[in-house]
Amino acid sequence: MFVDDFRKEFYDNLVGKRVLLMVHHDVDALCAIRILLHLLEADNIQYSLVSIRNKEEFVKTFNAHQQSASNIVLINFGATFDVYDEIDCSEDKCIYIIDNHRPVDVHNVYRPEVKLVMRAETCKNIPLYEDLFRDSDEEDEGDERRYSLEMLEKRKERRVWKERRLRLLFEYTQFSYFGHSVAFQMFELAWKMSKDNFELLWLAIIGVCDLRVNDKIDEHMYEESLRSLKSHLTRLTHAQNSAGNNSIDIVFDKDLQLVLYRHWSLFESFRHTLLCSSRFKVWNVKGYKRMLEFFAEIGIPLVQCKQKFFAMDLEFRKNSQQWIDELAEKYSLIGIVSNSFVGSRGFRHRYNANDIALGVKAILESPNKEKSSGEKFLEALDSLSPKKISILHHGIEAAKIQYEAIWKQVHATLEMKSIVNAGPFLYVILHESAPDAKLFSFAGCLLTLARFLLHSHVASSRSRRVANLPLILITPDLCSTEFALAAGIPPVAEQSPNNLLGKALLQAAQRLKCPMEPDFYDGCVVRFPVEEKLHLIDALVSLLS
Amino acid sequence: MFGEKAIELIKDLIRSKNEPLPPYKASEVREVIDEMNALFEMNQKDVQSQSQTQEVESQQDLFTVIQVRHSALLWNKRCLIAYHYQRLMRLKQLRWEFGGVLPTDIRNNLNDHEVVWFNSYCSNLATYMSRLNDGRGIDLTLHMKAPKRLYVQVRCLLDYGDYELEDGTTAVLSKDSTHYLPLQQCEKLIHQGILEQILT
Repeated sequence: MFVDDFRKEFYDNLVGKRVLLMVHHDVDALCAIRILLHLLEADNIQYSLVSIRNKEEFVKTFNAHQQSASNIVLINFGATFDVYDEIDCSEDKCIYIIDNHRPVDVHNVYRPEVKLVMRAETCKNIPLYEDLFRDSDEEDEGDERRYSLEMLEKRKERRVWKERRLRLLFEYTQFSYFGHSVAFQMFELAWKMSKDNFELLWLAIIGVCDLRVNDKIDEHMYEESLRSLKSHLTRLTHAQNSAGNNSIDIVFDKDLQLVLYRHWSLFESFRHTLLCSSRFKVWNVKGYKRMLEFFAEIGIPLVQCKQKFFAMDLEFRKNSQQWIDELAEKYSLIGIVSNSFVGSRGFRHRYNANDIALGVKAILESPNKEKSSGEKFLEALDSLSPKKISILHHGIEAAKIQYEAIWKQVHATLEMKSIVNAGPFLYVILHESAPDAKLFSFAGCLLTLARFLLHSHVASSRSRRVANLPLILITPDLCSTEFALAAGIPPVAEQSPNNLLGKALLQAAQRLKCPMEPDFYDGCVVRFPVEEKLHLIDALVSLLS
Repeated sequence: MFGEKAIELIKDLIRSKNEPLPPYKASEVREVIDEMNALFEMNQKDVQSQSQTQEVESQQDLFTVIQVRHSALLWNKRCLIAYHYQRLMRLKQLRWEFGGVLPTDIRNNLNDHEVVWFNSYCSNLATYMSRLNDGRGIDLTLHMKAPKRLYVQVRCLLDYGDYELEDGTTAVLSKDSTHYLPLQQCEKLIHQGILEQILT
């Protein structure tokens, strides 16, 4: 069931009782939970917080913790499967789902015990209740041997209804996509309770940016979120001017859209940005030279470019943005300078919200095997705290390593020409021996790699048709050796981030009768037994062609 | 000189500021009282002899002497009172800090009157505390300072299992879970190293 008034129907129900918060491993969820914790602590509501990565972990943790709380809040997972069916839950419990994954499972929509804390208007085309469910007493339990005309008609009608139901369900669940950032929704809740401040706004901004940098939402939705975030910023600035200083200064301004450039060198960051690298084709010598030419034309010496950004000469540092912007059109780098939020703490630390989203994600997806996933989660949670900036810096370093690994992998894949055109789609199979395979065992990094591969391939290919082909990327899961991960991303030419490949992979697996489980991070990443790798591709070819 | 012993008592008490309660100096107190008695008797005698002689000159001298002795007497009295009062105050503080049962080494330092006073103070306090909170009683000696917040965010470092809270609910303390619990109830677990307090 959808909740209309977040405050009355969600938050007010939490007051006075213990709450169990189950949070998925992603940046948006982390930002949302920090905002929610701020609210809960202000109202002295006791809670327990646990991190969840997959369904198995969810069921296990739920069973262990269910006695301790009557309200259970699931953050950023749970909407896409029938939660109530998975767990053995007593009547007096109430489950709240705050999730940005779409489509929402129809059982969750129509079950009164499950409350969906999300805007109903962001979930489109939900089939009507009558089309999906019938009261069971209508089922004819009567004498099977009596074939009266009436009975036959009833059966026929029933069969037609069943077919229609399956069709509707298929159409509804075909595409996986994302709704509004959950951190932003929590911020709006805080705002309605007049408990909003700059720190919370910053978290909401990071949540929205996380969705954007991982290509989960389209330009239009991002712009819409940016507009409302901007109005919140203006309002808070007016309100706080009299109240005195705050720990973070947020400005909304034009900024270079290069990954992590404030913490890296202009040169490196240019090379690792998807837009620039695919435009210049930096993986071949010609492209590389063209990039150097570009720097020459801007007028920044290479020595300066390869220097750490903060150590560049003042003149270059201040003007680089303007210079790059002036030449952007010539080199068709539209969008390299655009509006974004920059936060600064004191005089030393200045961050683009996008970079923080990347840094925190890198902490969550750190390949360090000595740390359990729970520890990584807590570390990432801490890195968002203003008092523990050093952890964030480690995260940003880890994000650089991720991007370097992605770039090396793209380079190697293109050199070896290992992108295979299967007809209806392209696919790449990474091997366990790939040097950075351990980084790609995580959904977020895997999807970024897939995007880089597809864009670079399209840029370097002569055929125009490849722009309309999706890409399937298969990699061994190094966390559990008998499994492999597959990620599917929509074609470059496709504007909307709606993704049908998750569903397609699941259907192919159904035909093969191989067990497959979608990742909580994104529906288009799935986990399946490693030996089915090649069968899966075959099944997918026959399904999509 | 008069009053020196008395001042010694006070100094002794000040010097022992770090100890909870120094032993009661019964002999010194006795000596001071003896000195006071002696002073008093000397004055008494002089006043009586004075009333018999009528010479104005000697009367003047004598009055000065009596005056000095009397001041010394008052001085001693004041010191004695201060000494005893200070000890009682320390005893009272001990009652608030350590409760009604005193450790034996402190108990040995008390004199009989102090023991009597202490017992009556304890019973008075107990009666008062049991009357509070609509007759249900409240222990005032707990929570001497108001806590900054009632609850703290804690992180679980080990798999501890179920932990029952005072309000009857249980919290499952599994590794790497975060909880928001009443400070008072998780203090012990923090000391044991099972929980870690998180400052955000």
